[in-house]
Amino acid sequence: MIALGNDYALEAHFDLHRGTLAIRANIKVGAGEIVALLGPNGAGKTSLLECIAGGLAISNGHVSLSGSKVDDPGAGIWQPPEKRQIGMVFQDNLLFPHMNVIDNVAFSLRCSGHSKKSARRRASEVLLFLGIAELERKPIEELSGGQTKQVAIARSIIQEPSLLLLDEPLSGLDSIAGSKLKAFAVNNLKALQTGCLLVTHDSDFVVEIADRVYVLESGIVTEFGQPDDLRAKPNTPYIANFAGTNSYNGVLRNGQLVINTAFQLQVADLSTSGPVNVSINPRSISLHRNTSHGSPRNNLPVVIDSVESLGDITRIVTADPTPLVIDITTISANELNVRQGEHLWATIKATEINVEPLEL
Amino acid sequence: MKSPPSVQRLPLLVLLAAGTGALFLIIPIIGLVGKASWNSLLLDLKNELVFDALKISITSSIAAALLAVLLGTPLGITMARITTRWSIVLRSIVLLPMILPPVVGGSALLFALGRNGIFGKPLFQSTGLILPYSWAGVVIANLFVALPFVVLSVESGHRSLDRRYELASASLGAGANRRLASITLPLLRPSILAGGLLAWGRALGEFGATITFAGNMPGTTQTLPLAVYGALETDRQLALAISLLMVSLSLFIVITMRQHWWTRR
Repeated sequence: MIALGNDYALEAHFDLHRGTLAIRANIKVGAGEIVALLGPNGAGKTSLLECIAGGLAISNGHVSLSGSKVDDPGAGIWQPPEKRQIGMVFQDNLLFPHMNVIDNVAFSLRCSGHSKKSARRRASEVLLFLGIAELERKPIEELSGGQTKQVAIARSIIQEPSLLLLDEPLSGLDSIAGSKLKAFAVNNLKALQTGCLLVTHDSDFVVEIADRVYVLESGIVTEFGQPDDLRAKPNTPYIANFAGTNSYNGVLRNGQLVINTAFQLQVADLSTSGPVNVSINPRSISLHRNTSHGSPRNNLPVVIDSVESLGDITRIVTADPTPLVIDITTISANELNVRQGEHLWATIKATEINVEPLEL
Repeated sequence: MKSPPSVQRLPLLVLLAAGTGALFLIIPIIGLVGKASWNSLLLDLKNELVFDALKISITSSIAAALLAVLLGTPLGITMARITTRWSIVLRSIVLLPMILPPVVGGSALLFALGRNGIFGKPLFQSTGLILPYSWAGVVIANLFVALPFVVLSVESGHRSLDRRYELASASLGAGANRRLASITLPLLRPSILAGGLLAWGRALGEFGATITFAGNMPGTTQTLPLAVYGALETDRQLALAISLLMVSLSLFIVITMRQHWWTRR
């Protein structure tokens, strides 16, 4: 298998039918590119990764790695997982419980014929490179959730695979371990120059690390575009929800946007009219105890439905008929002393409201 | 201070029945221990017959247990993986020796592997080998009844393994042989050990199949259980002494099993 330099690390165009699951995938991952795959729970993201890794066979289409087909039922091509040279980090890691950290990391080198000594030496170097050298001799059951994930990543990248599959790397981690792992991944995966397909539920992580985004919804994988667009132009309710942003359908006429009778906004965009999709970044909305006055601003009376601290940011959700997701700094949330059930004023600048004509 | 009410407190009826059950199991042991003449116990056991029977029991049961592990582990793994309707047939065949009266098993072995048996005759004619009434015959009788324990233990252990360990190791470049040697077998270790110990215990206590297929010849095929049976007719004190020896051996197996099996995760 000789790969040409300009080949994609992964090209997957396939259908998978398995029980009630039906997926149509069309995914490309460039060499050294980090691509995020989003989708609701139960959509089949893990099955999709297993198809690429060789744990499941596709129904039709093909999977190609670095320009070589590894699964193409039409042409009778099938490469078993051990021949695909893919790194895979499972959602529950699946570190081998009967080996310590260094032997887990050295495992793939042992498979490719390295002596125990040289495999361990290389594993040591990788652990050092990743900044977790102190874990080397630890048994698996003594690792924390975050450490387990880091070791699973180390184990899958030691052979420098051209493609790395990461299934929900942040799941099961608390917010501190999650932030640490995010920093670990951003620092290390970007440096590796390995094509990376990442399934995650964390929008911050996607924006921070991914070059492109795919979405798996209703069994179909579609390319979404740039991670920044998740919040700016969330074009489906799932993405809006994923990005923690605000997405509504409304009618726009002469800069007056009607979402419902109690929820009307002034927008700066005067060129569009008719049915539109409206999106508002949660960080572009502020909260006040009294109505404020100023240049084109929308002031809406809102009732607080929930208050959730996300670290530096506090996420506030307001009740119908003006449902808004509002992210303000925790400092100002504390100053405001926001409580559930309170009546406050939300302020949105007209220029911060994105409208896209709805295609009917 | 009043102790808090416990949700784990059991109805009296359950405790009574449980006590009766436990008593029922301990009464025969009390009988053995109570009737034994402890002064002459060691003297009774210092007997060539006992020494031979002990030697045959230990060697044949260990050989049978090892063979059971060697053959039963692959069989158990295979049974956990096959999904065709043949698995029902295979499972019935494997379970049969556990249900079958051992005497019937011994007779079946005799008809199959005896000097005039379907397989025994050509074996004898081509190699001169006679399996019944030999130490090898004891091992074969033991293996027949003990093998299912390893198969069932390994099969259930394999079913409870996360199959994705295989995909994880395969994606790291491990082919089928290495996956079996480096991942599956080590993860199955507790099940294999537990199955092996159960098989050993079953082989050590084997009576019916052994006496039918291998006979009861002191010094050649007479195991401890057979020696107890023989001594009951002639020397009750000796029967008692051998029985106590077997109780200690069995206790040893139970305690070892506890460490390897019951405390497993």
